[in-house]
Amino acid sequence: MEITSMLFLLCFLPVSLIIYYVTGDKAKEGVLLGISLFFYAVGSLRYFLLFTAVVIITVALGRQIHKAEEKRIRKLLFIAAICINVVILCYYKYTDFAIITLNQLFDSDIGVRNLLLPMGISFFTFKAISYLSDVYLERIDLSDISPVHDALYLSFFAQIQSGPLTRYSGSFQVEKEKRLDLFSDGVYRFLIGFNKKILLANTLNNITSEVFSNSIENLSTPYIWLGSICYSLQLFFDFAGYSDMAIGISEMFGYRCMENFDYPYITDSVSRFWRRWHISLSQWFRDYIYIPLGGSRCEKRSKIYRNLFIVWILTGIWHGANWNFVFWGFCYFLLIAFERATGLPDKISSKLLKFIYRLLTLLFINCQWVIFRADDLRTGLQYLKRMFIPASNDITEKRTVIMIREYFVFIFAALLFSLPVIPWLEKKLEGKKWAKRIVDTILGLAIIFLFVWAMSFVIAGQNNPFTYADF
Amino acid sequence: MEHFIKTGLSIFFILFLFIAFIIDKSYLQIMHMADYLLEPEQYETDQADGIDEIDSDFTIRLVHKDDFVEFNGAMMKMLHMRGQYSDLGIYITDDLYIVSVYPQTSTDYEYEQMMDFKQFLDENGINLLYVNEPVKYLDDNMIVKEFGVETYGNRNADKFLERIRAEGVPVIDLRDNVKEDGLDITDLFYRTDHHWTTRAGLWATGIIAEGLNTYCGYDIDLSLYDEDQYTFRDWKKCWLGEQGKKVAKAYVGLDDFTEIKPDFSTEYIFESSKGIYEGTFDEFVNEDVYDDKNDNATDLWHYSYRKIDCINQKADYGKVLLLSDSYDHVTEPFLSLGVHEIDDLEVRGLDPSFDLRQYILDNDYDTVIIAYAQFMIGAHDDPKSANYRMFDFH
Repeated sequence: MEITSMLFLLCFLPVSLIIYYVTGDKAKEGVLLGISLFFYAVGSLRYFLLFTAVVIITVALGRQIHKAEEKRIRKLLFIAAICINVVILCYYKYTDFAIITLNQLFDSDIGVRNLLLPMGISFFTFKAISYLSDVYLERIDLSDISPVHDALYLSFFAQIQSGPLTRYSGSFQVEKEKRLDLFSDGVYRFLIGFNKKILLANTLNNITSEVFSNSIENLSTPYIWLGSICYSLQLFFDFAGYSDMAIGISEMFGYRCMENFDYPYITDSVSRFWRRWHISLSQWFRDYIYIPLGGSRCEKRSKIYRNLFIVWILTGIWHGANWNFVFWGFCYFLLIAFERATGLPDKISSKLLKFIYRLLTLLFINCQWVIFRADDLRTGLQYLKRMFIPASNDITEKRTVIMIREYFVFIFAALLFSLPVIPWLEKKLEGKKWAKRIVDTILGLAIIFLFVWAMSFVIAGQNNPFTYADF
Repeated sequence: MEHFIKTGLSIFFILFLFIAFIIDKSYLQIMHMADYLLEPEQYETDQADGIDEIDSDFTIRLVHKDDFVEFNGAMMKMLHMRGQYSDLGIYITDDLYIVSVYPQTSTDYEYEQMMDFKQFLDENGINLLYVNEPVKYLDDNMIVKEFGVETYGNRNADKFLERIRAEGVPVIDLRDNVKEDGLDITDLFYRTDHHWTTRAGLWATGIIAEGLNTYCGYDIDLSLYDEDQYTFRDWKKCWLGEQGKKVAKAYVGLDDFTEIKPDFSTEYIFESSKGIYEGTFDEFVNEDVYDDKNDNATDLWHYSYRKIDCINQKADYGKVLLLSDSYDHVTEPFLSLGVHEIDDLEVRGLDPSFDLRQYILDNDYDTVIIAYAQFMIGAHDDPKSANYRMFDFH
């Protein structure tokens, strides 16, 4: 069940809110766990038992790790719990990839399994690792916490599909005193996210799906550039929109949730881009892979680059079981390693050079999204070839002009709102009480209007799944 | 953002959710979801997962669905977004004429099926006539010029018809007649629907009747299809076509409709699910459909003309099996005026166990007419297409 669907919005969400808020405080978490399991069952019925079993096993092992006094036992339990989660992820996500690769390498003919991915498995597994690690490293004390809370952390319906990858320690806490304030914050975030996803991401998807489904020989250079830029914007508004909605829903139920995006396209370097894009994933890799490997504190520089290499290859493969994702991760490793080795982004002092470097960074990120979007690495490289070696096609060139004309409002709005215009406006209005009030009222009304318009898209059948739901 | 605005948004949102919750009876969907968990098979379809099916069914039934669709259409029109519905196979010209695009096909499958079927009919001494019904434009370049999108509908048809003509299949390509008669193709179709108008259907039936005389040894009095033999009853801006419903009345406006009935007397024996009964041409036309509500829920007026197996007691020759599509809701009734007996089948809807060839032999037809809209050519390339089986003549 998509969280942009009418079934979710007009049925599941209000029923869940009613049940949750009429329930007494003590039972709230249990009720929310029940609602979350119902959500999972409805959304991924065939894997519901597997999911429930993994939640129970993970929580049970987490509790045993907490209770165990002997270090060796704790370690064994920790490794067992991690293995169970990772094996399940690998089986469902990477079996076919492994079979295809083996077939290619050894010219064998092993049949692919065509396994459907359990809903949110990549996100669930990472949250489970976060939970188990935090318990094992004694970052949290489970003594006063109910196992229901642990199970809810792993299965909370607002975050199960595509994150954010909140940490068990710290952010996954209900704020009883501020529940009402948090509720209105949540509604605001939800509406913003819904509008981002439906009005911007889905509309831009019309352009990108057309461009990237066209055969390569038909792609003219302007056409593929339009597709790639729109895809960069679409992916941002799709995932940032989802994250806003997930944060909003969490807040409606009284839970704070970590931020996932911070205007990534204003970045001034590739390294800093990942501090603004899918922040919860970057931090997860930093905390649970990079730092345990030694991070940047290794004595040998080669080890630092080895750690970076491991992190970025894993980041690539996490996004998808295909060589284009591995290549995509490897390219990020190269650029981030380059920036680290040269210190270039910080060394540039001239404004013009800084601007040029920023443009080059965006160019690189845009090209990376093309690889990311492609069905396979070869196709992705062919797209890039078409982008940089001028290719002509009368029909798609004409189509480029028509699409820019027809989608101008949406492309312009996407470009505009990928920049921090609202924070900029708020800063400008600081201290001007009435002007701020008027602007906020206009913004509030605009959000309502856009929400109704976005609803009309969904009801008219103009909706499509979240891109990150496939990961 | 100031706190009072967020509070206002929350109040709006909660009111919105709970009003919709009550008027759309959303609570009933919880029962459907619970049902789905207990018996998922009953909700699964070839096209969608069970939960998507429940969502789609719920969305279609929302009380204010039409208002939202209209609002969306009005906004799209204001922004002049003519390709926004391309994923639904729809493009809208500046004249608010809805067109679709069709992918390239080899025509191999259709050609092979046709040849096999022709051989069967030849062996049994049964006439075959293939009628190519045009789509809403005669030149694929028109779509390229207007939208910058490639379409192959006409080129696919050219290729297929050339191949079957070369093998001796009698073909009526109505596109040629449109050109010969100096007609504007856009006048033959509804703006908001993919079907041709009743006037176009009557015009086309005259040409098909002429084809029966030329290729199949019939002697139909072609004056039966002169327009002055009919009464035309016009409605202006009265209905929204199948494609129009997807993009909203607010975008494309409403279509006109003409009911056409013969002035001369008619006498039929009909055979339908109601049984065998006598009647006149009026039986073909369901006038209950002509309801001027003009909303998205009203029936498609094109289907007010019905295909019913019949014996025309005023004609003494001919037993025709018409293998048809929905275009023929208009042609079958008019064609029945010139032949003694006509039955209709839509191959795409036949049960896989149905033996078409045995049915043809059992019913002793002298002629089989295949009258297909040209986008049927190539439909077999997409296993999900509703028309996937249109050329399966077994």
